[in-house]
Amino acid sequence: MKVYFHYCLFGFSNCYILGTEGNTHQTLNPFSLEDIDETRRTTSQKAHSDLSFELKEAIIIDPGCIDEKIIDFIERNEYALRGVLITHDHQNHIHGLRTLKKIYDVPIYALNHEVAELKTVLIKDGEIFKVGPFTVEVFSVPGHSADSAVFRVAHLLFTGDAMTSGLIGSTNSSYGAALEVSALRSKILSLPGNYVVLPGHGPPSTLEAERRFNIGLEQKPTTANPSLEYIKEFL
Amino acid sequence: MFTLYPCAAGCGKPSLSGAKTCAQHSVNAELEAGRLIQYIQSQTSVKDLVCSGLRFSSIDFSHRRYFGCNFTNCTFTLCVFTKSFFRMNFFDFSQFSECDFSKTDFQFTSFAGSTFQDCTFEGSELVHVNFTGAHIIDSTFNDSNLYNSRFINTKIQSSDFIDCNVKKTFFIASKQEQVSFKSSNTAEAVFELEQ
Repeated sequence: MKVYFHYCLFGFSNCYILGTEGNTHQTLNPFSLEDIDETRRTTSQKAHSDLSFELKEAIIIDPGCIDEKIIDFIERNEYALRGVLITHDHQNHIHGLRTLKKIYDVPIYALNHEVAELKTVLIKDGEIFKVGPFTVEVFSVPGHSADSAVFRVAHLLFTGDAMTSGLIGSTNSSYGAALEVSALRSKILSLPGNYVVLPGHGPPSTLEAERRFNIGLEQKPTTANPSLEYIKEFL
Repeated sequence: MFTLYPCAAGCGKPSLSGAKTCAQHSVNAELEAGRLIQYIQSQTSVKDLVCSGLRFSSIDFSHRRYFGCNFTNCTFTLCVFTKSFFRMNFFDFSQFSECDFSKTDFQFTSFAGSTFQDCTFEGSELVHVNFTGAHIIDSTFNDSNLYNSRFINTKIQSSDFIDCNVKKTFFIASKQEQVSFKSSNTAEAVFELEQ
């Protein structure tokens, strides 16, 4: 599996392309250093790889912008695009969707039935579905927006704006913030083991780093309200 | 991007590239480190390598290109990374002492929870780099580009960020002692969360 990162200057968001490495590469053991080193591959292996058809498939997560660079990248690598995952319906994460749909007829997966006036494949919290060769698990994390989703693909978490390195998504109300923290704690932080966090903005992180250092998830000490003490006297 | 294959011992940690166990459960971790160093030094471009939990001392990592490698929980002492090129690498919870990162090009890399003692990043590109939860002591980032990097919840002591580009760099909840931002565009950095 290959992950490509593209920084969208429109809205300063992160767009990701997740691609396979082709049939012949997948059969090789990625742990064998001999296999990593192309020069050490035997001639029979090379001949086999030349003869067999390499189907390379890809998905896009949050097309905040679709420019010549991304299209050129997909075409140059001969990727068959299988779908688009939308973490949430905010302009800086879907701005390139219309352009992308004009070029590739691919399904859009989102927690909303419509994104940028385009019909989507509606997905639900906890659903596990296949997009091409990728198995995707959905976690609904409302707060930053009602349709905020986190996608898990193997050991990668595409968190959108719900959780970025060191921070959680901005919300309009304290209720929204509490909802977001609660969903993140129960669905994301509780995931066993470590994951690579690929957020919608800013640098990458790991789930263990977020568990320890995310300031939005820190337990805040409850500040005693002096007026409560006064009221208690009368209760 | 590296693949996380769990250690055969069942500890849940990632196994090293070319091995079935993690560094902790390896029969000879030093031998494993030596094997991976030999591999790195034989290449100009290193991809998807897992070296998690290993110790590296006085190793030359310089003048190479690294893509999607996992160096989490490693210890680097007196290592040289000058003029290296890093894309989407993970160095979380690692320890760096007296390491030279000058004139390196880091993009989309994570150093979350790492410790840096007497390290230099002078004249480097540190774009979209995650230093969240890191502890930085007696280190220099002078003349570097830190665009869109994050130093959230970071402890920075006796370190310099002189003449740096800190546009969209987050220093929220970071504890700073004897830190200099002289000639840096601090007005464009983020030191506090908007209410």
